[in-house]
Amino acid sequence: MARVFLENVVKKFGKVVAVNHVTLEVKDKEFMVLLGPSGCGKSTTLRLIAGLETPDEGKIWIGDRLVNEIDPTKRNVAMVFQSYALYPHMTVYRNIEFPLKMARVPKEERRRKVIEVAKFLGIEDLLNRYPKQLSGGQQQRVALARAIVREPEVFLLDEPLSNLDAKLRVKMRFELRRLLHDELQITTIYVTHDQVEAMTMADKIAVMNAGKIMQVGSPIDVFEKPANIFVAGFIGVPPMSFFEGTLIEKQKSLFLDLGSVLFRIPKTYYSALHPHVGSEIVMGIRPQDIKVTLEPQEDSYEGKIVGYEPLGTETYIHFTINGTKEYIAVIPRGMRISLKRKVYWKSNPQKLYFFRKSTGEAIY
Amino acid sequence: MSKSHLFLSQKMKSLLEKRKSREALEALILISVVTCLNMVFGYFAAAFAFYLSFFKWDYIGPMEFVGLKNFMVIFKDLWRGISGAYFFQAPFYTGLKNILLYTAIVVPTQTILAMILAAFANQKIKGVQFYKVSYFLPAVTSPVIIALIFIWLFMKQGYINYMLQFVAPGFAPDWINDKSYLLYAIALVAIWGTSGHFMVSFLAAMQSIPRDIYEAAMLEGAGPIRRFIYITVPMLKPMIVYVVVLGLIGALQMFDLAWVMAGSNGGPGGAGYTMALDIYNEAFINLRPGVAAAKSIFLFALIFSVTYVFQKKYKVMVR
Amino acid sequence: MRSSLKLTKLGWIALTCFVLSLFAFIYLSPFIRSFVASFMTWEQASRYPPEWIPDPFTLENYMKLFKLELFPRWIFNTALYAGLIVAGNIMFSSMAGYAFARLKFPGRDALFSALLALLMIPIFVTLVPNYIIIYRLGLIDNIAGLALLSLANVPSTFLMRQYFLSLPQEVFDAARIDGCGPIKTFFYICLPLAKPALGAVAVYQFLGAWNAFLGPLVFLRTPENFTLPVGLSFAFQRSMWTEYTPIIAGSLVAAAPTIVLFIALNKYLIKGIVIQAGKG
Repeated sequence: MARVFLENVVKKFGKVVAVNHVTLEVKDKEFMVLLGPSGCGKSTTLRLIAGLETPDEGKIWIGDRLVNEIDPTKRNVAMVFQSYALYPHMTVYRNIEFPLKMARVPKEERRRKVIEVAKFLGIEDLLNRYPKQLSGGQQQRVALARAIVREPEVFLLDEPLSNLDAKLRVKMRFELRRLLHDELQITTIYVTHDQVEAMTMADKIAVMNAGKIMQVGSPIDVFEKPANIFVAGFIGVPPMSFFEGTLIEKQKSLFLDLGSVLFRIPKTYYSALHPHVGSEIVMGIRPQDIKVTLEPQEDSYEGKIVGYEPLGTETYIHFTINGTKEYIAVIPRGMRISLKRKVYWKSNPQKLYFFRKSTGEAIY
Repeated sequence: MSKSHLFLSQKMKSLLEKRKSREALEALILISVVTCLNMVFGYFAAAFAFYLSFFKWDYIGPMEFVGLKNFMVIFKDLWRGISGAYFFQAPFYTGLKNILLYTAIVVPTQTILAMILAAFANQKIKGVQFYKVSYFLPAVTSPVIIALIFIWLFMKQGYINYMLQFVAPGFAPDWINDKSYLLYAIALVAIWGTSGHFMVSFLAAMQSIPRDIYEAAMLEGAGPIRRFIYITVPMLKPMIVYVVVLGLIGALQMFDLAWVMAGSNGGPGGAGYTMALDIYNEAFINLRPGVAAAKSIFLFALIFSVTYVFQKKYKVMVR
Repeated sequence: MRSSLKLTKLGWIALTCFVLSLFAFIYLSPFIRSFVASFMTWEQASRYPPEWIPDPFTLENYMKLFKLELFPRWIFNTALYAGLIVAGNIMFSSMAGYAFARLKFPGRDALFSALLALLMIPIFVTLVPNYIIIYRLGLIDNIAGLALLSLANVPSTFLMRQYFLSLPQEVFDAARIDGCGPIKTFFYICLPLAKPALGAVAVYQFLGAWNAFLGPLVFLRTPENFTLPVGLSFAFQRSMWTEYTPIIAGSLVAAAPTIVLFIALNKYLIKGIVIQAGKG
């Protein structure tokens, strides 16, 4: 068992900087999820840890070994790939046995271990089949078995669920977490672009964008206290609504100048925001925290519906305030709405986020 | 084991532990044979040929630097040929003239024939596989064997003249022994031998043209011939360039068929003499490797410029 | 209107069948004619107009062939040559193709381009220098020396490289992580997965070697060491038989392995043409 530590790691492909000065610590037995949009460098980071790529700068430790120059075969990490990468010319048994064979484990022991792992994952009936005779879910289990059987120090998973159908994905999410974290207790690094997977499985999430780590924290942390606009906008469904404007002060109260409307900022934020009076800031509100009504109410603002997406249990509405910029809010089902209808919205005063417009950093 | 030896082996071991160097080392082992053989028999040999072209040599004695004299041999030969000298005074010129005529006949004919046959075969017809196999069969047979068979078929009272009398009554030349027909006989055999191969290439390219393009053209009222001219041919352009370039490279250095059907001396009046035969004779009969090298460089320049000009013109590069 | 449309369509199909069959006849009839004639006496085979039924049916031509002690030797030599070439190319081109496709080492792409560039150099340029090299190695008139020249061809390497590039990268990554170094990966993963491509290389190299003429002509000197194409053209030019029918029979024997191989494997071969052409 081991911790993984990346220090200032840089990886370039030609002129493209895929991983840009990434520093990341994954503690022993921790389940770390690398989350980000495609092309953000999360898979490259994983491949760097596996040793499939060599960093241009920086250091990578696994346990207390500096592994920069260590061959992937000697790193004692296991990896599950998006396409599972089972060896098509080997039976399931041979697939699972392969890493042990390469590690020169004696034959009897190999046999015992393969069967043990196969039983553990419920695939002992499939041992004589070839990968192409298996369903996606079964292939997934074989890939897991092949990774687990070597008892690696670190477990790497690269979007392992994205090739499964939606129902199976939900089931495997639970199983993977239980297996790797609760039962085997292996340090795990899991790459995904699916925030639901990240939120449900991770001990810690590292949100990446454009080769950089945006924020590392527990799922609750990254949701409740996003460090910047990117994280705030990336995590949460539907995405957070952002209101851009200048912060102004009038009669000891702070307002956000949204052009046609002055949004009154609750007193709780006064001391945090006061230093930024006069500058451009971005206010974020999660759609769930915007309350929309058909009639005006206290402290509410006008808006116009420009689109809606009924989901059954609730409805997302897109509205504007005298402009083209759209904001999203969640309304309970049953509310009677129609396109171009005038509505009134107000925010939950406890759940506002403020960011610097220039850097995207969170102010509060 | 001495101490320094031990140190070295440890160093080697740590080198092998390292990811990058280990991968590079093992890769080097894997490519070693291919690289070495091709460097020696390809690049070294080509460089040596270039070097050789400036020397007079007889394989045994010392090599004598003669500057451009070997190339002068070529140009004098060409000059004599242009001035109307006979074959034995201007063999290189004869070979060049013959091979250019041969190429001008063979390459367009086999390309067009292959394309037309492919167009016919590219229809919903039973037994396409049979046709493909029949057309391809000559391409897998040794040119020497084909030439031997055709010498017999081309005899004055042979099978080909017999079949020809149904098409062109009274036309029955002595193909192999008549200097006005020998080159054409060789060209016919070459076309027969290679067009099937190219037909399969064309057929594959045609089958990769999306069906809906044809269906769209059909809706717009284009018949089969217009569909072939306005859709198939333009879509096939890369494949046409590929086939023509391969055909040019093959035709310009044609050797096997001429060797068997005309003989190494080029047959009657040198009618079947080619540049490749001349290079062979220069190297292994006249024992003038320097002149042979110079001539081979001339051949290389010819092939390279012809294929380069053609590819440049049609703006598709074939490796 | 509709019936006339149907009529033109029928006409097209008839024309297609006619053209295709005519050319099938043109391509096949030399083989059929030779096959039939190989069982005739030379007197009958050279009769005009041509006859199609051997009368008397004779195996004399084949007997004459095998009475000549050289002929079985030529078959053996050709098989040996083809065997060496196929084995060498399967082994070395798959190794190099894998390295060029999937391993990282300095100068990889430059080296590969350099190898590909060799394809532009006509064989006649390198012929004389290679003759001198092989001569200096003492391998003239030796099948092994001749085979050395084409033991690891660039086209085979190219084909193998393309094949390995078409396999998913993740399988190679998985093998690395499971503890295979590059060479182990080659033996445990690449070779078993490369069977189709290896088959294609084997067939092409076999055809090329079996049919080769210029190389054997230059590098083999004594008739005992000839391969079939050189031997048969030698027999023809020396008029070893007063009649032509043994030459025809010999040609058919020499062509038989390639024809049988082609008819058995034509699907793969034709597919290979498609792959090769695909690069153009």
